Amino acid sequence: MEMLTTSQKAHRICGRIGVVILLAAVGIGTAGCDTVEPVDSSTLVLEGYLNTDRPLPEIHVRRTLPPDGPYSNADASVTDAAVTLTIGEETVPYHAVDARPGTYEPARRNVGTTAGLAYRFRIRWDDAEIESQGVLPPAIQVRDIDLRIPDEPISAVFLDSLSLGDSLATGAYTGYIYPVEVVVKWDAARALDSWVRVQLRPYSTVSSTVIDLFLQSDEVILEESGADGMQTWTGVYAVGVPHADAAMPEHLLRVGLVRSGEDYARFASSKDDPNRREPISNLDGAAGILTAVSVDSMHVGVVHGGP
Amino acid sequence: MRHVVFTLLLLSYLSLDAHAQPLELAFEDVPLREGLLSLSGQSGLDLVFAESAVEDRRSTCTYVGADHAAALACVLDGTGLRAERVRGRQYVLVSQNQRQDSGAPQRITLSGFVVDAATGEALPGAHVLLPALKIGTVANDVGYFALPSLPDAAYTARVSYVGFEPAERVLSGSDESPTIQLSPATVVGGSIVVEDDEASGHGVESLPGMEAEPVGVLESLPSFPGESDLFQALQWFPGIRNVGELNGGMSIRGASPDQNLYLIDGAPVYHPWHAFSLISTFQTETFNDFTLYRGSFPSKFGGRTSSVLDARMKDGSRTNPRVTIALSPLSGRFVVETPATRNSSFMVAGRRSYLDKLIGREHPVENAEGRRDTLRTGYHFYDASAKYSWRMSPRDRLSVSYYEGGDDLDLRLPFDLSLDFSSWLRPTDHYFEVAHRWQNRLLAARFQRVQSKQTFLTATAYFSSYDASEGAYLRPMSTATMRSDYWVDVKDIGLKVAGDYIYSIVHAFHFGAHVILRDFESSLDATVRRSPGNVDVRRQHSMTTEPEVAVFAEDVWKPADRWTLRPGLRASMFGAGMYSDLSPSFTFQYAVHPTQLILNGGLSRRVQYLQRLRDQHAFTYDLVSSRWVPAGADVVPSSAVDVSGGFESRPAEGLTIKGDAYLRETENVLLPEDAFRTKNALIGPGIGLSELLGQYVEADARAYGIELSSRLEKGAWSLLVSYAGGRSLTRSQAIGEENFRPARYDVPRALHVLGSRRMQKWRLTAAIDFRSGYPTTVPVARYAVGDPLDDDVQYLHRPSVNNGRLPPYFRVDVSALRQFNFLGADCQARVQVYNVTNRRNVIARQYLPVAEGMDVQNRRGLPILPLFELEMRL
Repeated sequence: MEMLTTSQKAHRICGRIGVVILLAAVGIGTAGCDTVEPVDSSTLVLEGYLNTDRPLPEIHVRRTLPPDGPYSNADASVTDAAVTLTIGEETVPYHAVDARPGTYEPARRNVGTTAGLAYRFRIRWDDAEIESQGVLPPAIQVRDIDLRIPDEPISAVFLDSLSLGDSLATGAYTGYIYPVEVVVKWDAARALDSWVRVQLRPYSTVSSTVIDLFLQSDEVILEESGADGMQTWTGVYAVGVPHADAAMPEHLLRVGLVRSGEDYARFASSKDDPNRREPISNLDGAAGILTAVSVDSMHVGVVHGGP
Repeated sequence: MRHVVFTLLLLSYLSLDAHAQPLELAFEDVPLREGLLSLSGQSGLDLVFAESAVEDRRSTCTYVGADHAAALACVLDGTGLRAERVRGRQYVLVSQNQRQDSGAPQRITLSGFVVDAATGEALPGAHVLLPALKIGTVANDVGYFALPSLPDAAYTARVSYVGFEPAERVLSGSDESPTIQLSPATVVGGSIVVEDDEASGHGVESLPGMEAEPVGVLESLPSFPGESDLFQALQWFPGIRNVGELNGGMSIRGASPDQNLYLIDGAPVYHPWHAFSLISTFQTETFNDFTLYRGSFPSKFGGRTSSVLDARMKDGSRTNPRVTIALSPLSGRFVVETPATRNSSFMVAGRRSYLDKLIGREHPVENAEGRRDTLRTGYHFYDASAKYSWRMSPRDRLSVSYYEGGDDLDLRLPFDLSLDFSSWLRPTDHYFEVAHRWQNRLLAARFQRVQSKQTFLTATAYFSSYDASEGAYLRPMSTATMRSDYWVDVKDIGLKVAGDYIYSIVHAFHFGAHVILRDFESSLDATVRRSPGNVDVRRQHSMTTEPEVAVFAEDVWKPADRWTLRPGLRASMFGAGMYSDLSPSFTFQYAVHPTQLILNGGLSRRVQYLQRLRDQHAFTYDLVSSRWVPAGADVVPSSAVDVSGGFESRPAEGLTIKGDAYLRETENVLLPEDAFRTKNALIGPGIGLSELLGQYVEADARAYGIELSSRLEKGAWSLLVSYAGGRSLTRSQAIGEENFRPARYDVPRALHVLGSRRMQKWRLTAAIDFRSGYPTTVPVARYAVGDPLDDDVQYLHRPSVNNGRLPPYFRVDVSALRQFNFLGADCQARVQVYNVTNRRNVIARQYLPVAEGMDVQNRRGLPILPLFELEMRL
């Protein structure tokens, strides 16, 4: 047997193909080029909470700073922004407060902030124009607080982090706490998409990851009223004590309520882990938040045996 | 579109030499051989004949024209020979006496089986070449091959397969599918063996991005941590990588692990991982061969958008019993294979980790006050597989495969853990319990029949299940507890019937149907008790059944000896008609030179009806489970279009170079809506589909790149070098992303170098693994913002996801393997040093805001690790 075709043609075509492949490889080889590179740019940071049935608030206009240096409010402040707030039919200009750089106060404060009024923040700085709009939420008020305190402290694990290091050591240790159960009641809003943040802030506390997971001192919930038109929430905070026989130290507890819409709910739900993330902003082109809320808080002195 | 145009231009360019030319023949009484050469030289006809048939014949011919057939008839006129067209421009010269009574030329089909001479195992993918005709084919799953419509003659067939000595056998039409045995090449230590060059260019199934290897080749590749692991070995090929050093699954060309389809004997495996994805359930030595499709799929496969790994278990030795026993750092394992009867054989294999046997599963403890407790540190994984193969007749084969593998984690430990056992082996009031179990099971029965020499049928029925349960009990204080029981379950019952009809050497049709019924079930029962009045209870259960029907057809069309085209179509329907899809595919293969250069390319579409999702909130459940969500009213199937092209070249003896370029566009993948969310809650929003889908958004994905690999075998040395350059990007317009950003597994560059040297009974190996670091999100600024209830808090500003990259990953492993004989058994001992340079690669990074600025905390990979493996074969 014999093959009659010559191999020269094949080699010639081979050469052509080689050139094609080489060119293709060079061209497509740029596929591996890595264009990923962090870009540092200064971004506007806004903070303003319009409060139902309260005078117009101050607004903070700042900008971001480079990440690898100490943070300074003075360096971050923006003093030449144009800030206005339209509420209902009325537009109120804001001007910078010289004594507090980055802070803007309204030209007049006694403007109606009734629930249901529409509002619009407008901030212009450099080429940026940021807007935020919405409706003022119904006012909120703490109606009742009930505390349940155990007779004696309980032992608990204190743990700073759930992630294991190379040594597998968790750094956990055992201590004693008084877990305090707090029942908070308020009038529920009848509006849809009404969110409430409830916060228990004791001015004597412990901090531990595992403990915090089993405490509940701060939560954002969607309002659902009960049969009596009241919303009830039960939270738990803890007060640390040095030993098993220690009495609970007398301390002050602030119970805070913030009612707002979904923007604030997303912001508040994502703001408690600064090591991993920043809060979700409701602003397009800026960090921070401009929104309307209604706020109420109550301070309670807590002693063993009740408030 | 640009790629299609490019391909067409390329094909046109390659075809320049095939244009017809006018012929002019004028000779008188010359040796026939001379006349044929003259015709062949002018026309480019491929004329095949036996020297003995033409040596005494002479020819006289005068012809002017462009009709090749007429010119050939002129040359053969009066010689007693005639030409029979094989295909295209190829003719075989046969005696004019070889004619049937009907007057039509008689055609024959050559067929047979190719098996391993040592074990009788079929050798799927073996090359069968008729050198005279330059026609070849590859053996199918049971080693069967057929070459139909050949002129009636006896042909010498050259049969070859990677790792085996080539063999020659004379075949004729009267043979009843003989069995051709190939003997394993005698290479110390199972080094990489390049297949027979001469046979490689014809009939080779070369699809873009396809890797098909006998397992013997993979067994010689380093595998961490000394386990017999198919997936670990695959990582030495370009574009394939374990997504994490210690976990995560396998990513192919930057796609997510859930976009790969894993098949064992035709049945799917949903979660092929042990030890939190450290190693796979695919125990290398229980398999006969595998094929990985990472570019264009044949139409018989569907259901995933990235790749298909089709592995076939060993049938079991049909000659002599063989026993393999091995011990590695994580596990002990065995494989037994033996003939059962004259026509049947079986294979049984098992593997189990033994760490729990070393440190103990239960630890009774007692403190000074006499209080007793039992702590638990149980973890093990296991695999059990078996296959029974029965050759019912020379034409019929039946095999039944079973696989079961799982992991079992059982812990009861105090919170104050450390490596110092003695510090925490004591009764404790505050502890956590974890009971995780996940398991794959499959049972597949496959019947294969040679219906006729040209028709081959395969029917596969299977049951495959994946179930996982995650139990947790936390008691960090005496008044607060958390208990959760979570489980997921996928059951898959399927029937696949496929046929091969080898119509001619030009056309071979593959067609079939696949019917699948899948059950998805999940359940959560969780209670968090923080105080008597603060108790969260979540009880949810979901169950759905989804059918899928697919039909497929493909033509392996060889219009000329250098060309193979594969048009194919797969039509599928999912969820009782909710979704239907037509996925066409087309691949081509062109042998520029049978040994020096083969080009291939393809364009295909595929659809994926299942997506694997995970609760983004709760860290007490949905940790290790794979939860598959079927397409439905709220989940659109994802689909991908893949364009790829490549080449395979053997420019010199022992050297193989392969290259591929690809572009894949995928639609409707699901990405977490909040890229920064971490599991930081005891229970999440729930396991219902709506709660789960609320955490994800639809996105597009794009991947493109090139892959190059070369293998060199020269004497005692072997070298494997592979490079992959490419990008994997995603974009979700649902969350306002206008541009593509790096995907989670985007690796622009990866280089693997693997060199080994054999020295009598030793084999020394060094391996380098280098790649770009994974993308990470780098803060670009910092700011402070307050709240109505809180003071200002400082945050790091991360405006875009995956805007940075971890440092490059670099690791060098070395190993030494020694073969020896012990008590009559062939043994080998391997010592491997993992990460010999002790480079602590950064595998994750966290940025923390601190008073001075930003603190960068790195999580590093494994340090230098000495590993061992001992294997004994009886």
